[in-house]
Amino acid sequence: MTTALTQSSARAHNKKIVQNVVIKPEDLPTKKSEDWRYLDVAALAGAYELINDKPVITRGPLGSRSGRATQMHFETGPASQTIKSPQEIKPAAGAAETIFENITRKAPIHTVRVDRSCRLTIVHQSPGAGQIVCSAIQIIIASPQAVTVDLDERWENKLSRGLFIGNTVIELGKSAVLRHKIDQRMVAANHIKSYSVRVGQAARYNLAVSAGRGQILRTTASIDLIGARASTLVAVAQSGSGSQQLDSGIVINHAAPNTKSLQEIRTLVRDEAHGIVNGGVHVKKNAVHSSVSQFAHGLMLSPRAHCYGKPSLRIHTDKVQARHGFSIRPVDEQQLFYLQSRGQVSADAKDQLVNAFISEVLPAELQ
Amino acid sequence: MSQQPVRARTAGASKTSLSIKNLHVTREGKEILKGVSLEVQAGEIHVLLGPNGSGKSTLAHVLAGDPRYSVGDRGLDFNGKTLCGVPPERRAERGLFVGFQHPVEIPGLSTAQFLRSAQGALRKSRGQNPLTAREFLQNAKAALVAVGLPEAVLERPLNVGFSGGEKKRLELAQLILLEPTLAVLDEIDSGLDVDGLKLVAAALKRFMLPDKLTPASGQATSNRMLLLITHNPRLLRYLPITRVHIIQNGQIIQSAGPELAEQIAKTGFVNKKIQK
Repeated sequence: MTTALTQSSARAHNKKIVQNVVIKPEDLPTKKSEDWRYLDVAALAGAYELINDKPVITRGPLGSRSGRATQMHFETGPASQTIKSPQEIKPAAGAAETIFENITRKAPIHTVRVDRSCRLTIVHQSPGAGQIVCSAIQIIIASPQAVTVDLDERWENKLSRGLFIGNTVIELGKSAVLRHKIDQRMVAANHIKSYSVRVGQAARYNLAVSAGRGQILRTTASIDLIGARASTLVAVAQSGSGSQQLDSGIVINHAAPNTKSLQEIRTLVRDEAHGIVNGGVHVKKNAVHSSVSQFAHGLMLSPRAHCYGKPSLRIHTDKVQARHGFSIRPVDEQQLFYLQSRGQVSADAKDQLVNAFISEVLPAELQ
Repeated sequence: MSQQPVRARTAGASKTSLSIKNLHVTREGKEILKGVSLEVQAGEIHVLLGPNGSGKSTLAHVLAGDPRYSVGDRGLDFNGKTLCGVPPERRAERGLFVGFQHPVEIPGLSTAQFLRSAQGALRKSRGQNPLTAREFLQNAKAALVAVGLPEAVLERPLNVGFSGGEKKRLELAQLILLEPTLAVLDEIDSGLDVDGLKLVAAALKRFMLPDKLTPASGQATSNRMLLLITHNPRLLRYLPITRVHIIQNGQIIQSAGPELAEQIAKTGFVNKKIQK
């Protein structure tokens, strides 16, 4: 539901929301208590729905300056075009390049409709120190023909340190394929992102996330396989050092027959970093002959680091193939020894193993 | 006199040797090697034969510096310097290479990446310039061809999904690329068919090619050494073996010339008795 507000009332409302948001590392779940005691991300990320057409970049308790815009960039055909700040956009027929320069004050929720195969890049502006930037994007991919879309999300101003809150809703129509890559590797800002994806009949959603360097990074995804033969592949790699707090919560709902899902989550923690993985799969009664794979592995490089994994499989039908595995371990001594026996000093060998651990699940361009 | 070509002239190269004297090794409190003694000189090919569980692979791991094994502070010398307490990478830098019976799999690490890092590290330790990407690829491909592996192996994760034979061939390709002076190969012949055996034997012969001229005699000699660990004497028919040692229950019970391997092939290890 959206409510039209005046600019001043929107700001006041927004300020009220963010003033109540105080994220402290100690608020993160611990082994003793796995309740999510901090920030309700969905509520916060949904704040701009209330604000509707008003600023999604807000002043908050972290500082006083406004942030900047999100850009979108399309490549679809031989020509090119630029569209500024529409609320709803659609790559033009025959356009090789469509650049969408968004002024977030005018378009708090961007709706992207895609009906042909194309490449879409979303470049977010990272919030500066003390800023909170919210982003809301709805992507609808639907066409009578099968379409394949590559969606890359990345961030500019990588060194800035604020809070980015993103909420992305994706709808995949019949036989659509979306290859979604989120590259945050060098991004220093805190991130709280949620993705809600509905995958239609015979459609496929592939998500690859390479987490960044912010103090707090949270990625949640809820993927509903609502059409028969819908499938999803989720690969998340999160690497934390210092006192970073990382967590991923992936929930996949199988709600139709012959659906297929694979989760591969890698968490690497150094120093005093915390890594948390919540993997959930729910196979509903009608999702017969579905296939489920859920894997999460943690690598601990320091005795003071923490890594938690919480797998969850709820299966309400008998005709399902399900596999799952969670593990948390230090560096494999035999692998380390093997690399050392080939002349690599311990530190280099360890780096190589750490990179291999992360790289294994990610596509080459995110490694 | 050998008619084989001289690889390179390394004037004044020091004589290389591996010396194992009364070596005792324990793992988790259990003694596995109980006083092993063995001497390998430059240009020699030695063979260690023994039944399963006799301590052959333990010796290979100990030579490589596997931290799971406890070794005393003496009894293991390479080129006149002790290996005891020396970390694995320093042993590799000194010219020691161990080809393992069960090479580990490392998902996420491509074979090319691994080979390049290993070669780069060893070249750096020898004061050599790093190879360019093109030079490395040329070398790596040549090494793979020499052991009968396709180039596509370079793109695959290290040893992941490799057959037993492919793993062994890749160990051998590393031997060619890394150019050690002492190679200890643990069951390099297992998992190989007859053609594979011949290929391995040819690669090992190339490894042992003379690489220096002795000024006094004018003869070409090799600075390299090979210790083959196996329980199957088939491979030995293709190689000029210097000495064969039989290990049983953590002890070397007999050492003799190549004829010992033939004898073992006929009689097996069962009736072997300790002959000190």
